[in-house]
Amino acid sequence: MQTDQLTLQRAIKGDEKAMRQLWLRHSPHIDAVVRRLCGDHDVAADVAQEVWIQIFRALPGYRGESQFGTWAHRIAVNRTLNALRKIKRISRLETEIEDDSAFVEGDSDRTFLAESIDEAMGKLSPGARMVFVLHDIEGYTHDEIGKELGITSGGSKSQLFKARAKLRRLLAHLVDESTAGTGMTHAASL
Amino acid sequence: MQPLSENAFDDMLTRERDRVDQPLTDWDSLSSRLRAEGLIRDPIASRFFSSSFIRIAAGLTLLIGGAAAGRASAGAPVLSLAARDAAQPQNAVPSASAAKTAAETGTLASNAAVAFRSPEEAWEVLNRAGEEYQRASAYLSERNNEVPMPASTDQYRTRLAALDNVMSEMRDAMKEAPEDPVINQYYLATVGAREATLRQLGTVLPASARMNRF
Repeated sequence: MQTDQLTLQRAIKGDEKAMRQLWLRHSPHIDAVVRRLCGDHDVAADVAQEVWIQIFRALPGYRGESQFGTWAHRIAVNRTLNALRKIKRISRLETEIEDDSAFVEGDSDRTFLAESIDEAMGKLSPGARMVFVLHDIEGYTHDEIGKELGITSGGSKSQLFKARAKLRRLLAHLVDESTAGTGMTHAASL
Repeated sequence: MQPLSENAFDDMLTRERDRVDQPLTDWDSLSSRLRAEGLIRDPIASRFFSSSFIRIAAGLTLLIGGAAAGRASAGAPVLSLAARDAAQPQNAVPSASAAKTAAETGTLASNAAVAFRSPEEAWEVLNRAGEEYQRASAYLSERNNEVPMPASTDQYRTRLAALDNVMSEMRDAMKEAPEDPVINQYYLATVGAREATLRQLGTVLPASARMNRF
């Protein structure tokens, strides 16, 4: 997504209209990653505001080496992870990530019919959700995830494998039954 | 029930990557935070602050205010002779030659009681006045031993606290009336006085001392 230089220059100078333009254009994507990482809507709303303030604070340092959206996305991920660390969630999940037993599927999960991928992701442990979102949605490598979350690359791979398996089970009901029998499975639209 | 196939799951992820949501926050609440942090600047106020005119005007405000305070403390009339002359009706319309002299020699307008023939000429005099003010301040801060600076840090702290209160009031006033030149000038003058006080305080403090707060 191209963001014109003039808008950026005006935003750097504190022009509210330009800043609003940037926010309107990019918040749907930026806020989506915040929401996915946080899981909880209320927490995500608070974090999203901090993220945007940080983006505008850092704006004078934007050198245009990458697209604005990509640059802002990185800030969003970093800021969100920092915010979650602050509220003591990461420390808990980092323990869970190293502990395979934390990923135990309960009976309720077997009968749970997720109505959307959001709800299904909500059923993952915080650590597994982080790894899944960062890798499968945001395109981070396992090395990068390891550095961000303070875990090993192998731990990240293991969590991703389990997260995907669990999500596929939780989202099984989204397969169109009429085509499931023919092997032509597809996901229902969300 | 069979789990979702890998392919179907990947299709779903592709859609999820492209999915956009409603923003989690609204611009009104975000912009008020941005404004409070000074990241949003009112366009008029911004132009005002960035203009060299205001910086010079603030300097002159300090100069005039400082001179007035100095004269008052020394028991002299607050208005200078030149200023008094300037206030006289017969001097209200000075000659063009006086204006020319002022511009060419760089003497302050208040001393020469001149009228300006063009905005450019007024700018020139203003710029020169600002530079003179800076040079005079630097000279006085280095060599003026006649009026000893307060040795007590408490005195500076009291002054800084007072200046901060004034700045706070002025900031509030600027939110209400960002275009008001008097408020803007006084605010900038106060900022300048605060910086000067901090510099003076730095010379009074022991070399090992470091000021974190006052």
